[in-house]
Amino acid sequence: MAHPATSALLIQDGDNGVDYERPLRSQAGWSGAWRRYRAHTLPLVGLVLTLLVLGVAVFAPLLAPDNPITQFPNGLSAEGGPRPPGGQFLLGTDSLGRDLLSRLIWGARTSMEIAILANLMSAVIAVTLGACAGYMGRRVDMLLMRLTDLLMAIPAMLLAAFLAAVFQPSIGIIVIVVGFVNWFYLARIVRAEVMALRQREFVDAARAIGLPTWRILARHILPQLWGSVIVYSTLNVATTVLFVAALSYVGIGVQPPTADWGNIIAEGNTYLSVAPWLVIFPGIALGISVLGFNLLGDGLRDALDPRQKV
Amino acid sequence: MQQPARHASLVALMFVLLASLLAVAPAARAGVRAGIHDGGTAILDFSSDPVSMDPAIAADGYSLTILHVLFVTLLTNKPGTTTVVPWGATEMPTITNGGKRYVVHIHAGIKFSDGEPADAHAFKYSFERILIPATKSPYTGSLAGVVGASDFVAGKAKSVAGIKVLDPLTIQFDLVQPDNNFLYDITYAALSAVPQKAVEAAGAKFATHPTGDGQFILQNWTSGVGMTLVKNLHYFDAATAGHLDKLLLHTNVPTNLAVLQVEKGMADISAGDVNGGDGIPLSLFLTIKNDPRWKSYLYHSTLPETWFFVMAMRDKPLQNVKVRQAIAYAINRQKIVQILNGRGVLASQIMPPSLPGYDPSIPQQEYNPAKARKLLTEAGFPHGFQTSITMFTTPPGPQEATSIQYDLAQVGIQAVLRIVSLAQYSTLAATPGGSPTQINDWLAIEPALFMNWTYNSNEIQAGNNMAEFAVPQVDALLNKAQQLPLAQAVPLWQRAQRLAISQYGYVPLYYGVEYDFVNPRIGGFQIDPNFLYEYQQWYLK
Repeated sequence: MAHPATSALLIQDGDNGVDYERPLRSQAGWSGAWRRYRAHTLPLVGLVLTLLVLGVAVFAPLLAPDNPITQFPNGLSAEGGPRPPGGQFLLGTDSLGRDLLSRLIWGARTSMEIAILANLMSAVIAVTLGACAGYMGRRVDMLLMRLTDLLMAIPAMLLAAFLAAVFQPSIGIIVIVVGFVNWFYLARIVRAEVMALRQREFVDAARAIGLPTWRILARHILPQLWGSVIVYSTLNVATTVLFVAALSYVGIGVQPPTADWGNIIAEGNTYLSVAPWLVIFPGIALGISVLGFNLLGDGLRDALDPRQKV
Repeated sequence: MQQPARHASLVALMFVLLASLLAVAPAARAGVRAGIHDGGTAILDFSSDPVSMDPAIAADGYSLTILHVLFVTLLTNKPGTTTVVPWGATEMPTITNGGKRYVVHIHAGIKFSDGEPADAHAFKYSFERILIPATKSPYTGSLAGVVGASDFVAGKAKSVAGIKVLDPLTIQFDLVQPDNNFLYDITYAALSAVPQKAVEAAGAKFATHPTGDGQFILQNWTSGVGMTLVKNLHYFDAATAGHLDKLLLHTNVPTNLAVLQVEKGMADISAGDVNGGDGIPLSLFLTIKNDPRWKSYLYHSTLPETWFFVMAMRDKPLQNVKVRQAIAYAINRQKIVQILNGRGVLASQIMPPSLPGYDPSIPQQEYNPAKARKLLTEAGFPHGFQTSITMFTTPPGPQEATSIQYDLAQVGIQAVLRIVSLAQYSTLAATPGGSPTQINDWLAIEPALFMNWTYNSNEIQAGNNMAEFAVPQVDALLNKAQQLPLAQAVPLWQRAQRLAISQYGYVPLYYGVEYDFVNPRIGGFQIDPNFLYEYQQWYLK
């Protein structure tokens, strides 16, 4: 672990006619970060799992054995029950006789698209507002944080339901809605960290040499925040997938017949005792992606932490 | 097979308890009637709360099943059938004046639990209460055809001229024009008598603390938890009195849990929800149906309920009858019945088989995607078009809608699904132009309702005729049929329906089959086409 003095010194290191504003991270550069990242096994496992899930999402059309929305006449039993795994349908079928494997593969695409974009959006909002509030303090802080309080007081589901009801449900709208209801807590975390950081010597130093506020925020404070932001956002990926499923349940989420993990799980969980494969396989898929993203996030936090040494 | 043994011992225990109670309280009214033992408690699990216990207000199926044993109506349906029989009335009404005058004689001795008599005055008061705008009753329409009703509603008259109390036990209704549905209208729980004093004293609280005259009395109701009904010892008619001492209704029990409770003997029936949601969730249905342990727990009956696909006939591509016909050919209705695990019977027409007016000569709609594509090409839509299907989120709603969406896609019609909450769905469904296509249903015992709500253009404004079906010839037949006695109306309904079906504004999908999961210790259980449950007939075996 580094200590504050080191960080401050790093700024002063620049005093050889090169770059005062060099981001701290670049001290060791991307290669340094990568070296730190691969030094441990778990982050690598996380990377592999994440790439696997993203790979499935990207190459869904090539990987899926069938069209995810085809309702096969032989996909239901004579009585109309879902087919168990095996035979033509490797992971079985759902209550409409559709191939579960194909739906999972295509569902990865929808779920990942929403989860990643929505978290990206909430991270951008949270970091912008949190950093402004934390660094500028006083009235700006007061205004932004009371706004956050106000929005936090409204249950996320209700807020999302309201927003989604106003607009026609579509993937884009869901991303915006989920992104919008997800930034509050992260904004609080960012604000707290920025408040602590702005008292530190290296920020004082940056101010002393006359750097404008936005530059201090962008180049000296934000790099310190990546850890929290990445960890929070990656942890949130799984929550987002399930939140979208809840939205679907109230009729404003991903619209059928589009496959989406949340949808598949939400629909399947009522079938748990009858057709457990409808929950187990999507559950495993979700579990793998959550684990992957968390390990990746953990690894990135350590690797990108400017105070971390190899 | 542990359960039956346990039930046997439970039942034995209850007998012992009952016997000892009888021994110490010989005055108790518990007795034996036709081999049926009175007394005991039945436990019912509902997955939602009833809406209101004010008969003028409640319109949800769940409230209505309960109101049916709290308030006496003049007529009702014979339990388990769609035949209308007298109840509070001593006999079927005398109909004179060319079908415009109904005279009803009321049983003597019907009393509310506060002692007020449920006589002709009470019925008149109750009917007028429905018409008062301040009551906000959804049933004003059922009395709209009574002479003087509109003047009363408008405040131009102090009472409804067409409702006359001839003597305390005789009431007379005069209609503006003959209406064979009036007999059915007065079976509605809304058109039962209510006690004026209690209603006026309770105000809005009457909806939670009703004073009734039925087989049971509402003892308490805790919203979100449940309600307790106890036997009305002063009920007027021994032949239709209840057998159980108590009905415990647990509300907000999810159906999965309710089924489990019935399996464990902790509840007697999984009764589903306020919106007619099944007591046995789709996801558990096959397991239960195929498990020999639950064979004696399952009851089923085809309801007078028709599910249909609605196409807004004013909508651009759907204006064309060939497009609507194509859609009818494109929908694989057999697949929907399969998805429902057989809880439906393919429907050939809107009128269900159990009602007069059903026409067995109408053939089933053929499933033929190739023909659908050909028709679309002829209509000028060789590549289909875009539309949307509205449906509610409660299963199997989304499954049915997704199935039809897929069928339409096979012939090139791209339908966006609008799977919305039930409240939103009801609003959309009843708004003319609210949705290009939707899935909806009628569940009723009135044949006229099936015909008029579907095909009569005078029901467009009320939001019932959702396809905005308006064919003058059909209107004329339906309006004429309405004024004839039932037997004479039937051939006209059949003609109207044959004409209407070829216009494809509605595609009949299936008739609903109700399955109930009931502890076999409950005797006298049958599925009623009107109220689903007839609690007064239940007893403990």
